[in-house]
Amino acid sequence: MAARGPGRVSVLLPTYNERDNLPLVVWLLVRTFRHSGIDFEIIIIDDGSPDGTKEVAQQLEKIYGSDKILLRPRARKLGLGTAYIHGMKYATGNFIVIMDADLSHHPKFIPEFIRKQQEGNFDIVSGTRYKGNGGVYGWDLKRKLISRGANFLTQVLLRPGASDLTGSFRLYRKEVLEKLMEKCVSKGYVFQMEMIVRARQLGFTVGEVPISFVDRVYGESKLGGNEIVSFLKGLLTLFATT
Amino acid sequence: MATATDQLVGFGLVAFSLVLFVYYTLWIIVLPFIDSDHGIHQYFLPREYAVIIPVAAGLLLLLFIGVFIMFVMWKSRKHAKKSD
Amino acid sequence: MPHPAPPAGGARCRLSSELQLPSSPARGAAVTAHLGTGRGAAPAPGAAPSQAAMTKLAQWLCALALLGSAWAALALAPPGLQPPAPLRRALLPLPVYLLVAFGCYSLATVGYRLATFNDCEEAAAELQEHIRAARADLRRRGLRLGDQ
Repeated sequence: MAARGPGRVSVLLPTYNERDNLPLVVWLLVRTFRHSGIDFEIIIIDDGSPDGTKEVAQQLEKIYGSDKILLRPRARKLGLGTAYIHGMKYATGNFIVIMDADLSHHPKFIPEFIRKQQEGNFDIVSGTRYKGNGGVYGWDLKRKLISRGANFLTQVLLRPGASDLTGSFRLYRKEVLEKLMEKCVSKGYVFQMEMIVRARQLGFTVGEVPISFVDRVYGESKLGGNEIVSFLKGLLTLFATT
Repeated sequence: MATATDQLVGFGLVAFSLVLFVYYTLWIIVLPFIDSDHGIHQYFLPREYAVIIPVAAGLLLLLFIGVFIMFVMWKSRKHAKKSD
Repeated sequence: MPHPAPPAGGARCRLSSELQLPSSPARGAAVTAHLGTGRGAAPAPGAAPSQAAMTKLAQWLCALALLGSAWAALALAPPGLQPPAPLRRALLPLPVYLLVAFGCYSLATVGYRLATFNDCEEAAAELQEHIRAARADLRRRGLRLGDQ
């Protein structure tokens, strides 16, 4: 699809069971873009959520218009990478923002991403929790320790030139994201890492903006032994192949 | 600002590594240049331990990591079999 | 809805007062004007500065081989070419020393980063406020939120 006009931002929102958070994220996105005067569209890729996320998305489409809210659902849970590829097919913007739909990422940072992109003509702008006054809310000591430890290991082994490799709140130039999606093969945390590493390999530039990450999923163990082991596996694979 | 506990543990780690680094540097790098009748030598173990202790600790660490990984993989395999 | 004053000590984590204000046209226009002209010199992969073709693993092995052979040359030198005795005593355990030194550096770095890992309490509070505003507004616009 040809890009309609300069400077539109397409936000890709893959969702799974986000019935409660989706309307809030969309409301915040719309507010942010309207206030900063940036042209936008929000592409919601729901993977057959059993909790009725799609129905909520349809209501949002009625409220804000189908030129701003694009519903492009899929039948089953097929993974983040393919969700991006699927969503990108319908994106008409020059820039693509990927973020989490669970309110851990606040849309207010998007105008800052764009400002940063202009500053240095970056191909990618990555939100970082580890630099400047970026930070996290809702993490205990163990989680923070593991996070910093894993990030340190990544910095030592991969020297990626970006401080937050596992973050998923980023702005990409559309062509850059398309090119990267062709090359990246990993899943989960490692997928986000691989994007940055491959981007550097291909000579793309990465800028950073400190963000705050508000983790509201209390009590749910998002970081078990399994995640750690698959992270290590992915890290070593990237170490040996890039 | 990080919470108080985080700061305590974090800066505690910094202090610990600093002390360890200074002690070890003195032991390995500085001590050979000091006469063997100087009093400082009594604070340091015989030189062989300067190599034995870190190597043993390193091997233990690798062992622990290996066991951890195997345990996690075994548990996930068991879980996968159960859910079949 | 009154916006809470930013903490006196300067925001620890990123906050924003933007959402409370009506859109400011001047600022908005400035941002849009820039968006399109951002292309500049787009890096074509072919013309990009060539990244090292070596994998990180290969780089590490090369570096280790280099350092290793330098150390071996000095440590296993024949008696005629040996450095003076104290220097030699300091040199022999050097690989282990470097590993321990690196271990200390890692521990200190991770510890320091843990101690300075910002806790975004204000951001969480701000989010709660925004959620309340969002729910109220969406209800007005006709969104049927199931519960809460």
